[in-house]
Amino acid sequence: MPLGTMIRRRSYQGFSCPRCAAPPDPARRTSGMQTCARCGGAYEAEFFSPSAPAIPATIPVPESGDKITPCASHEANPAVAACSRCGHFICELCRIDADRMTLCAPCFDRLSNEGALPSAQTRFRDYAGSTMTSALAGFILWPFGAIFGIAAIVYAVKALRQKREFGDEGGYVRLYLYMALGVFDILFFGTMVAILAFGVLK
Amino acid sequence: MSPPSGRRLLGTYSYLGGRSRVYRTAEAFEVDEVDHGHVTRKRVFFDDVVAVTHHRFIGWVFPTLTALGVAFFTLLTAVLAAKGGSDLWVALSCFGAPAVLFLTAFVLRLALQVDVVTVYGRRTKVELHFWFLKARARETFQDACRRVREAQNPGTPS
Repeated sequence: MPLGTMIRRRSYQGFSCPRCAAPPDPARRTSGMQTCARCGGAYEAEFFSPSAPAIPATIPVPESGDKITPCASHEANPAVAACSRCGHFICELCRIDADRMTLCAPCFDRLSNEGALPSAQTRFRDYAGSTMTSALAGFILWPFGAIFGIAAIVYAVKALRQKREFGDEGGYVRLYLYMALGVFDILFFGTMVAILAFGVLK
Repeated sequence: MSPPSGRRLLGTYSYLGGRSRVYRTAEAFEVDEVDHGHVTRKRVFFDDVVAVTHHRFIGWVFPTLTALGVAFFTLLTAVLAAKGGSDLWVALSCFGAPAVLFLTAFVLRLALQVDVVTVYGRRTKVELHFWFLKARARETFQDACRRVREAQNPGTPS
């Protein structure tokens, strides 16, 4: 098998052998020790049966005789809310509650693609990683210590803010250490420049 | 779609394409895949889990790379030792020390292996790697099973 194929990450196909990714025999799905039929590897597994989300396609209209407002997308369904963005009437099927807004599906897609819904956002800048890289780069490449040191401090502040937003319980000490290393980078650069300057002046 | 609250870092692991950080929140496992300065997040909700597994493996990438490191630095050390010279000990320690480090990593990997806890959701999966903390791997496996049971069978004692 070519290395590129081995490195390339396979698309997820559901539960498979954790060793060789072979699909398991559905008839032998009992929790406990398992042995893969293909690779012969052993692993412990516990299986679960998650229930499918039960959303009816058509919501029954109450028989009160009152005139109901239909959903803009599903005429048979009564509207339960109006979209916070476009104002279209939406039924229980269409309704998406996100970030204190009630949205229809197209508006949810648009806002999440624009990054306007923090809870639906799945891609972020890695400020913690940038902090580490900058701090270490400033230490190794000390002639650029001032630039990397300042970058490390700025990234560390952003990373700390990001961690608070994410609700992270740990990892703060590491960031403070990298911030301190950033300060050290700047001081070390300043000291070396001073030593060299005095050396040249003498 | 609620914002994450109280994330706890369970573990990190690196692979050939990048690095992953795995967190546990009140309702899901979150995987932050770090790739070129950006983090891509995916979640496996407890009520969406189909299986949790635990196994131990050696792998082939790490042992191969460390073995190559041992071979390379040992060869260099041997060549320098054969040549001799006044700074022989400096040269030997420069190339011998990395060889010892690679050998240590190689032997540790073979001896300890890596514990892997995998949580399979309906649409994605989460992998947690534990090299040294075997007890923590076991705890994580049991904790994951317990949380999934509680989420999928509320009210049932686990």
